[in-house]
Amino acid sequence: MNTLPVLIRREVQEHRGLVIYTPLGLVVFLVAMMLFSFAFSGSSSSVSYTMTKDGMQSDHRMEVFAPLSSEGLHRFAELPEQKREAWLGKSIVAISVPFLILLWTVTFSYLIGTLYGERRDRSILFWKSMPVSDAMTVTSKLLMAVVVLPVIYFVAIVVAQLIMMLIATVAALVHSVDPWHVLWGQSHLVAHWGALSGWLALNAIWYLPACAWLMLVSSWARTAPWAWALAVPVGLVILEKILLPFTWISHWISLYSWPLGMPYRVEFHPAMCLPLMFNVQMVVSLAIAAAMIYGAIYMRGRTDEI
Amino acid sequence: MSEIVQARGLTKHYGDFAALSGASFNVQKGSITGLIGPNGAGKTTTLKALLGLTDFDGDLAVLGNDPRKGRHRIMERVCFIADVGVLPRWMRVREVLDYVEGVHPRFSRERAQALLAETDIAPRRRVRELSKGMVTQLHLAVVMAIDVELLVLDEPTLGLDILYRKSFYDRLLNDYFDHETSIIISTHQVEEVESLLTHLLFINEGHIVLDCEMDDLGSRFADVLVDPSHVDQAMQLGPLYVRDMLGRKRMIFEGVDRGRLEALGEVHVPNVADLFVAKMQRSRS
Repeated sequence: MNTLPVLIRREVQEHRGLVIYTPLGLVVFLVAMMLFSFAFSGSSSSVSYTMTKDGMQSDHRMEVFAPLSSEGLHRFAELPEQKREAWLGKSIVAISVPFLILLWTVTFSYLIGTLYGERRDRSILFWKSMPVSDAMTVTSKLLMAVVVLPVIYFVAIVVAQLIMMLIATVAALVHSVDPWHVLWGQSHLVAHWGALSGWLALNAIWYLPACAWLMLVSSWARTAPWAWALAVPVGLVILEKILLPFTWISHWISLYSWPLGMPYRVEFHPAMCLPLMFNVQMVVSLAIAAAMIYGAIYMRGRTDEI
Repeated sequence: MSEIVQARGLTKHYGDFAALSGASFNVQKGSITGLIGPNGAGKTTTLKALLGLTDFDGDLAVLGNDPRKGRHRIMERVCFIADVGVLPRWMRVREVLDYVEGVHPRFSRERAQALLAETDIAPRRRVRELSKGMVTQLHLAVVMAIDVELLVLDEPTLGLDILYRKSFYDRLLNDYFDHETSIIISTHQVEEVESLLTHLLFINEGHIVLDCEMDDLGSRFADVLVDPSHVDQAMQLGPLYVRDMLGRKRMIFEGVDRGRLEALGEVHVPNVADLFVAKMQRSRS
């Protein structure tokens, strides 16, 4: 009996908010912002500012065109191809950034809560009355964090970017600018999606030590798992500083506490991360992650309600 | 009859507190066993040990397996309702059925739905929207739709009103129990389960203080309403328990010849609640 899909489905059902409503909400919010800027893009506005350079003050005035206004689009169409490409690339990447930050937050809060929550609400006694092993349960929760959530947020990013492009296309058509020439031709959307999905996949591996740590804490903490998850690494860092002549632990902890270099650059390619991924340190880190996952499975087998 | 559970010398400490100190007992196939004891006697710890939910010392075989090794394999053949209200509150009734159908090879969704159709529980309702009694009905419907060899119920009706308690046990007995399945019920509300048990296990301070077939109760124990003139004689026979009742003494005896007791007064089979009190006082003194 293949229970893993059933377990993952139940995780999705429990965390509908994180899985569906949060990314959907962000898509709706971003689209609303774009529509708002489209609706009020009739006029240009000017910004006045004062600059001080070499002790001399000078007043400047800058004309800012709403990007989806007639003027803005026509000016954009007249830019050299390279500039258009760079500007479009930045806009497309910029859309993915809030989703990636949200994904990071959601993943970590999901992991820290999952094995703790089922003990606190005592539903663990129901889950454990079913013929599902602790290893399978922990695996399903880990897959939820490193596969299901990134895939869903990737889809949300793609949807948001496509809607942005569609709005821009409508604006271009309204203002008689050729959308293919100005927008789609230079957007490199597919290449961007390839790079983003590659990064998400590598990042899922990069995440593993942090994910494993959060699950381990979630499996044994009797109160305030967040506090434990932060206090133990901070304590280790302090102890290392006082007692040891090196800073390996601090370095290791800070390295894996954050996502693998954000793909904020337009010319980002997942291959740029590979030197970080394929080395002895990564192998050791994954071994530590595996040990912590094993610890979480062990603890789940031995605990019941809090 | 074959033994479905064999426990020898179960011991479990929580710090200095001994939840179980060498409990030994068997559970026969096709029996309904009541595990009865006061709060803190070790009932829940015993059941958790049976279900592989806690570590312990001693020998234990549940359907021939050690529950410490592979809880999930035992759970294909054993089901339990631990207390009330452990169904996940966020789940919809439909999702509970989806989940159990997905993970349990012996679950019949048709049967669960048929059982639920007799209640007021709609499939799209969330568990948190249901009353405590309805949550128990739902859990019981799920469990009754699983074809297992052993069903373990830990204080299944705690905190429910009398109507739900009554229908819970009626259902269990009439719609579920078929002498192929064994049931273990832990409770401290003795009166409620007395009529459905086939076997009694009293537990106190981590020990089994009584292990008896219900059918043997009358031959092992006697409840005597002693005539005032025979009180001294009766006391010499070493009653388990003496109580004043309307100016007369009521005594419970264990293992005393019935003929001798009948000479002292009216003899009855003790009810389980009285026997429970007698045994608990005895094991404390």
